Amino acid sequence: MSPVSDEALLAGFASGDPEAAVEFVRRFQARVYGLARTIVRDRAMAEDVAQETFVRAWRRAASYDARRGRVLAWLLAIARNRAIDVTRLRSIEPLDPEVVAARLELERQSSGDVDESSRVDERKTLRDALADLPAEQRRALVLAVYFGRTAAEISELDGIALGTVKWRIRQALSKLREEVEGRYVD
Amino acid sequence: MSTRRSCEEVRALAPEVALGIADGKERAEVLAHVASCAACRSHLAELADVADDLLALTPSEEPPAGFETRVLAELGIEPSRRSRRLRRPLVRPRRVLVAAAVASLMAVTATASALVLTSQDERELAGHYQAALERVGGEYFQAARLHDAQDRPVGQVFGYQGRPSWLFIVVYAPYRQTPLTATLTTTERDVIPLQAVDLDEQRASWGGEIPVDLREVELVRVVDENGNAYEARVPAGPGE
Repeated sequence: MSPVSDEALLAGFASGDPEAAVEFVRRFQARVYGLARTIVRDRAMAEDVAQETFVRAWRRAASYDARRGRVLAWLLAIARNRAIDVTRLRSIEPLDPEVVAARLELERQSSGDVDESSRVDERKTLRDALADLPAEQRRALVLAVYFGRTAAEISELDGIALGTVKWRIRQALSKLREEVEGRYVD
Repeated sequence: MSTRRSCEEVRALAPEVALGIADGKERAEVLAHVASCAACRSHLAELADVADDLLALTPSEEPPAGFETRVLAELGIEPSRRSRRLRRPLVRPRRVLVAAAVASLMAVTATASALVLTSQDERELAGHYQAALERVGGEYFQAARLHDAQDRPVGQVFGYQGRPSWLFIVVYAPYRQTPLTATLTTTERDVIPLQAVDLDEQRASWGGEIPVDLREVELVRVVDENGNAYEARVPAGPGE
């Protein structure tokens, strides 16, 4: 029997089905908690973030755009925004972007992905492309993606011109997009 | 007033919008442009997909034992009862829980010793909080996050239940604009406009008396001139 799709599970979760809710939390809790740990680091804070993520997901399930069909991405975006909120409220400094990148590498080596294979392949492509970026571009991108730092904040943090930061972010994201898109064009 | 951006300008701004780090004005301009430009809309969507996928690269990690049970309890779910419907969440974020605990303590001072506050710090916080409210005859304080439609943090809302009740709205830098229009929605679904809330680089917050009790306020909504709406859902006060 094929497993219930993420979308169907979310629909059950949103409609108030207890079994769907249990399965929904089980399916995504490690992904959500893992992201929260990467951003806030502290275990107790990460657990709070993960817990709030599921509560918010339940409250906002109606706003999920089924046309995009990416429940995990939607859930992780909620977790990321909540985690960033916590880091700002508690003045938690971002983890060194190269350490974050190294954590992503660890995931590549011991991948516990249970997603469909095409998605796993896409993530591998993305990881490789991120690893291949010039260090300064990777740093700016990691600070923006995982820690929500604006270009102006990165400029101040690293003591470099705002225009340079914007250019690095633009270049980095464009290259990743080309790599991911190219994989399907080739 | 929004400036109409060219495709070239929008392509330059799109990465920051896709990553959720653009300021409110630029974000609004890009979104206004892509609403009528299919090519730029597609470009932005592709970048947003990459940004989403980057989040999914972080390592999975199992949360501490009991996590699933705690989440379900917070949602009011009893897994063993298959037919039971979900109730509204009973528990609010931990920081607010502490506030709610001390507020409850204040409201039932006669039975305060029956409440268990787990640490000396919490007891001291409760005492401090209670004394502050008693000095001015207030009932409780409340706090809520202000967020946008994608749940990005936009600011904070603080409230005070007393005579009179008041609200204090803080908006983070990228989202401060003039004018911002703020409204309250009450538990009776009445929408009450507040006076103009004009924020900019020099002015990050607005505070003032509200014409209803804080306990009647369910939602605080802030809208900028481009139609971007931000909301804070105000938790119920103690005993409600």
